[in-house]
Amino acid sequence: MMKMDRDYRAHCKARLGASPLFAGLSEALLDDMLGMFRRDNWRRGVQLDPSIFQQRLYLLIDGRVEVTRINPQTGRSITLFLLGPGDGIDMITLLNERPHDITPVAIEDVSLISVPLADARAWLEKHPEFNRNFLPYLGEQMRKLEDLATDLALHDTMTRLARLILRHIRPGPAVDGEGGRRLRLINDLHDESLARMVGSVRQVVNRHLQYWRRHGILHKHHFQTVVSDLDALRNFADEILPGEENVGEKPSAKVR
Amino acid sequence: MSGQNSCVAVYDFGRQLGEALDALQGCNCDMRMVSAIGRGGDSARRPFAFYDTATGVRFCGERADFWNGLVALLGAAACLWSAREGPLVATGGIVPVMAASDGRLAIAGNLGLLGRALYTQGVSADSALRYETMVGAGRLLLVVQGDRQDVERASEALAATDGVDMAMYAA
Repeated sequence: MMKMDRDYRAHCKARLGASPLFAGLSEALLDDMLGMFRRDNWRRGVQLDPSIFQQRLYLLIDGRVEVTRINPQTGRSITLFLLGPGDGIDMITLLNERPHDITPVAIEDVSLISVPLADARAWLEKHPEFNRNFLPYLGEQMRKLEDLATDLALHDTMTRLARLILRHIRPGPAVDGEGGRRLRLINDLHDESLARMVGSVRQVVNRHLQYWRRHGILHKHHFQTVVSDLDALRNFADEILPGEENVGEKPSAKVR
Repeated sequence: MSGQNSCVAVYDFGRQLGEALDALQGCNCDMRMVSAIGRGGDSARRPFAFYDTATGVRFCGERADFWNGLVALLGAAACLWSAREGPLVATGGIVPVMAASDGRLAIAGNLGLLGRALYTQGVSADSALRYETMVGAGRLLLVVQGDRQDVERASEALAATDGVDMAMYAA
């Protein structure tokens, strides 16, 4: 039976242990599951055939993957999910075998592990503890889609962009004495990728980001976007987002 | 869609590599897609192969049968000296890639001859560096390159073999 490199196996175990999908599973069960995984790597920029997600379940270990949907007539695309380490790609295929029109794109070199879908489905039946993690994870994904649909229908681009940034603020204390807050996953994305996430175009997103930089709301630190003025950004987002209440103080008044 | 797909499996012994090749033949894999790479000998002082104009590469020494068998199965062979891995033997489809690999090509991780050839076959730079180290330590690499479906089929066959590590690459 093919083994997995020992160091990489330990790395995968640490990643999976921190993932909401596998958190709390026993060591023995995690080892058992890891024995069934195959190691995969996709180079930056690669676009994968969606049919592969009908055959195997892929879990991200390192790197980020953008899951997009493209209109072949116009070439316009929207990012449905931006996935990072510990996330599963197209998890909906565990529940439903219908072909799924998505285009996953590796936005940097990514390492993954994969397992045949039939084996992953068997885990859901055999291991209730995995099932207990899987359902809230899927619920979270559905909430993200709900947020995206709501933002697209109800808010202008600037509000959508502010809400996107607020959703990706790293939890925990500020990074410096001035209250700068780092972002996760979208911290170093270029404007084109951000535009795909808010259903806009690069020029519009760039204009809004420049505006916020000029007004001291955002700044770049080592090529990473940092939020300098959280309250001001919240004012642009129109409201406090669910799950974001614990980040800093509530804004006092709208500035817009 | 991805342009290059590769599967790289690592083995400790020639016997395991032989079983893996049997498994690939058993799943009807096109052997032109398959390459094997390993260290040519334990010492730079003792010759392990020689070229002649009539038969191409002829191996000698204690592993001669193993490498001659691989050449018969996989086709092209090359014996090379790499500053990092020492004496290298490559057989199969990777040989022309290694021969064409340009030393001036700058790739992250400062890859050697083998690493550059693997990189051009879709293997990530850090993994290519890792494979160079593994070959330098005496392990054997089996590389399958081709269409996604062919490489998937090959990986399923290789998953049942007794190897150290296996990974799929898309680029």
